[in-house]
Amino acid sequence: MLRHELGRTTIGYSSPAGSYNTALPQAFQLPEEQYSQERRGFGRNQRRFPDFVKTGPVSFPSPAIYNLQFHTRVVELGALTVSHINLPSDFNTNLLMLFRWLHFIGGITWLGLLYFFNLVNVPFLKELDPTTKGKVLPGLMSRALWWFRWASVLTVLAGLAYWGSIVASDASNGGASSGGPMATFFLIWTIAWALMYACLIPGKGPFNKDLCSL
Amino acid sequence: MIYTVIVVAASWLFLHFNDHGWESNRLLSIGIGGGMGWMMMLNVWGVIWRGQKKIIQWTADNAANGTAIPEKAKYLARQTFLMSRANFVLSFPLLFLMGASSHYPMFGK
Repeated sequence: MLRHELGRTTIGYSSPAGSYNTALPQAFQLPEEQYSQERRGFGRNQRRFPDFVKTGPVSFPSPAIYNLQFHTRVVELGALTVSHINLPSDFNTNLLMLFRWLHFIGGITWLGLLYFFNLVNVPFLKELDPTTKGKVLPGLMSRALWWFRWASVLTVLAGLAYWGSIVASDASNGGASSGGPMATFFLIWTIAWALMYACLIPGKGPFNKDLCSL
Repeated sequence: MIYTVIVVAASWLFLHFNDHGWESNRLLSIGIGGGMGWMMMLNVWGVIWRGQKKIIQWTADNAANGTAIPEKAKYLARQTFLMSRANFVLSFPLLFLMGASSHYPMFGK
């Protein structure tokens, strides 16, 4: 009854002795006698659950029952395996989540190395004498730049795959084609890059290099 | 400064051409933030890696055989540094717009 009302906000089981373990997998079921002993405080030094099963009081995040706490045995792992993970089953949702996940991982690798280059590496390499630099730079930079450049590709491809699906669904809701946003995206941003490239050519760009690099 | 102007102009153009009413905040926000990401990837492959692989090769040759490092190395080092710093700066609005796409409806619907 309680569980039914709580729906998916339930994070554990609270049940009177006798029925508490009925929904758990076989591995976590205990005889009633053992459970009662535990409640009465017997055998506290004896482990009755595997190490990875945590027990303790549980509170509920749902506002309706915000203030309720159930001081009863909670088998968190058992509860999780039974009903509290609802993986979306349709293929597209999972695929898009995979793209997003890869996008995060790639993006963190890429920008993490970028911040390393700008905040640590550039000032550090300036301090090295030519001999040390000859030893440090090839090994350090070829490794760092390998992750740097491939992470950028992973990030951009996964991001484009995800963004493509947003564009497609927006366009189909609006009765339009996704060609517009896609074409303007690549056209505008590639031109912007070319302009930036031109203006950042050291000493030769159409703008003064110090002005450009402000 | 100059690339701030370029990026703002490009963002404005993107919003201008995608203003039919059906474009969502997510589309527009990623359309701009992702555009910066696209520029950054072109920088990585078109400038930073192209320059750095030569510098790495020359430095390694110099350390191994004493071959002189060509004058061009200074130019390439300066250029890759400028582009790397441009990417550093671009990454901040990029991350803001990526977060805004789902959590900060500032464009469109």
